[in-house]
Amino acid sequence: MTDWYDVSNLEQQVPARHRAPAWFEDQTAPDILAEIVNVQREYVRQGDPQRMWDLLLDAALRTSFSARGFICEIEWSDRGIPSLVTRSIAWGGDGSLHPDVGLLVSQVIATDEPVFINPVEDGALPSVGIDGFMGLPLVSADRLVAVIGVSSPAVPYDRRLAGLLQPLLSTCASIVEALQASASRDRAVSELRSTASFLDAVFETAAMGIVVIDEEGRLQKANPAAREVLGLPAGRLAPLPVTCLVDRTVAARVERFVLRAVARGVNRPLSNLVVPGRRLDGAPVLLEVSVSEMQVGVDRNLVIVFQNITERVEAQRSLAKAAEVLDSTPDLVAWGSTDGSIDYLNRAGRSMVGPRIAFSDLFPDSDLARFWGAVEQAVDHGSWSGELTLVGQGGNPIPTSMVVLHQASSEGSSIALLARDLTERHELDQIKDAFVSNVSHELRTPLTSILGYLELLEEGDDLTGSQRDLVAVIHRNGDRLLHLIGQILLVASLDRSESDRRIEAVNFDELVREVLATVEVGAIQKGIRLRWDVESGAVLQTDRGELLSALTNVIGNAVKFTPSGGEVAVTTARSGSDVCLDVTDTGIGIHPADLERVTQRFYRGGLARTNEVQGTGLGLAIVEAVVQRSGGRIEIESSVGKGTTVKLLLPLADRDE
Amino acid sequence: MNEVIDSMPRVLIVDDDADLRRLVDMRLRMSGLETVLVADGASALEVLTTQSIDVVILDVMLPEMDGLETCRRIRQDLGLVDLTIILLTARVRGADIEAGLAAGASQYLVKPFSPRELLGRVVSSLEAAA
Repeated sequence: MTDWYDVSNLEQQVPARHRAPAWFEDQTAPDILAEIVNVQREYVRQGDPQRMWDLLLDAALRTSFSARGFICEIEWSDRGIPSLVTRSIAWGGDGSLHPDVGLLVSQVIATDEPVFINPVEDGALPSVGIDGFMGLPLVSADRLVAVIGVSSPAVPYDRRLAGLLQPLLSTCASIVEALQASASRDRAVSELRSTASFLDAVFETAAMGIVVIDEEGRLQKANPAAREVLGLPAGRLAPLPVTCLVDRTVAARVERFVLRAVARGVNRPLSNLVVPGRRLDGAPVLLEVSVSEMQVGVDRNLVIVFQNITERVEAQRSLAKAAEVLDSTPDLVAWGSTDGSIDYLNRAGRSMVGPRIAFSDLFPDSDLARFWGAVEQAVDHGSWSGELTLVGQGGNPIPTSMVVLHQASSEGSSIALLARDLTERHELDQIKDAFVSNVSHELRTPLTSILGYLELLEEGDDLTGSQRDLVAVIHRNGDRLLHLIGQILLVASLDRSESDRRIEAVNFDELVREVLATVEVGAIQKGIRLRWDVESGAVLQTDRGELLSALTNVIGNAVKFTPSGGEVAVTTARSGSDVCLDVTDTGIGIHPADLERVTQRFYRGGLARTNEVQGTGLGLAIVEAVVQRSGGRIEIESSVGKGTTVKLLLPLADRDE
Repeated sequence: MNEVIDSMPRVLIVDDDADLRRLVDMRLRMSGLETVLVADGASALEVLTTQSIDVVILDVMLPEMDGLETCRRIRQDLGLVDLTIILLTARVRGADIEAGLAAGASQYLVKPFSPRELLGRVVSSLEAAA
């Protein structure tokens, strides 16, 4: 066996052509020292570890007369597993190392010892991949920090090279060690810094107010949110006692609590305390507070995190108030989504229809389609109002006046329902109708006698001229009274159900002529020209009595409101599937402001009143009600001082045939 | 009208209101008609079973047996199907008129009516019957 360590033998072991030349002996410590100084100077000057790696590799290549070489830094994981990072390489080709090189490096790492392979003498080299190899460990403080490997030597590797390079390797290892230590310190520092700045950021940007209270119960720190809520100025804080920031009624208790807490500590963090606070300017503010303690060195501080809940509590209060109002209203109030589910039903609603969760459960089957039609209308137009029947708790029908409102929001499409129970009103209406009807009937019987006896009196020959005049006045006023009773009775009857109507085929022109005949005498007496063109040939299916009173009112009105010398023109004509009655007068007209209201019951326009035209204010109300019951409509155009045109459009009997 | 006077037509007036009864009575007798006056339905039926009557003027609003019921009994119980019955009523709704016609009334006159108009109705019905 060759003694690898016996340098004196070297020349005998190495063939002459590979024999170490004179240079080896010439390599002296000062040369390596120069390399060391070079490395250190470059590192210090450049501050660049790469430069050091390159110089080290260069020195290793030169010293060992190698053509190829590399340096890998070794980083150890927490669990002691090494990972290699190539720092400098001069290998040629594609730069990839032969697998055998990996094995050799592993050997260096495993043993911390240099490895020498000289294929010329050592036939044991497993492969042809490399022609000689020297691997040297860089050890610093018992820790392997890097491995340097060189190959393709001009002369076989001499084991003494390891000793020769050792000072340079140690120096580099120390530098690497220092680098690694500084890198990990930098990492730790930057981690610390980022943690601190994160905490600062939390403190500065938190939506919650955060204040730190010192052991004397004074405010030490306050974040912007806290300053905003408490009205504290920006900048350095004056040492403000915490009791200044709470309501006077609780100040003493808060002070006791804080002093005890800083003296003995807080056993467990307190949270969600509601404390009446006070801004610096004295304004009250309601706070929800959490308290925890923070120990820094020997100082114990209290950290108080709080939130301004003034508005929230206010909102809750007004919500509770709104719910109270909704619950105290006698009307049903409900809302939910357009898909039919009920989200809210107020107390009146629950007692009316019981606890329901679907809109469709509120209505009898017969009204369901109308309800969904109403919802559709509300979706299209925002709201719908009308009358709908609800199903009561006991299955009883409840007539209601209802409003359906629709609202579209980002949360979806919702509807609100307001319903007023009309049961009582309907009962009252019936009582009122019965009363009006009875009174009117009772009035008619004595009127029959009054008017009848007057007629007998006028027919007889017993009266003097002046007596006859007086009787005529009585007769005329009796007629007026009769007319009034008739109107009232008619209005009362118009509110009644369809079943009270007597529908028959009515010759429209004939009916109009009948009315013209009754008003003609009055018109002539008043000096008004009455013209007509009544040839529509229209036949209607309607209640003749109702229509007669409507026509009498329209034509009678025209005569009534037209002064002497004026003209009233009446025409009937077919208009599509309708017949149109056109009554145009040259009367006093209707003021635009009154136009909308003339069809209201008992409403009389200003001109009618100032012109002392007698009337009940029922005429057009009757006309509109009758026309609407017949499926028609009324149109009024008027110009003050010039006249009025009233048009009634009524559907023909054969419109659907 | 002469032939009517010759045969002395008799009109039965049924009304619980004395003034109205007298008004109709005066008007008809002024025109030469003979009248019988009663105040309720039962009396009317009794008169019709015992006397010859040409026209009945019947108020709808009668105490106890109302005009409609009286009318029905005249047609059904007494079998006087051709007798002219003129109903007087203060009710003007379509349904009331139909009820009256269903009960068998020949004509319907709404209060307040003119005595002259009532006479006209009576005379024309007598002429139609003659």
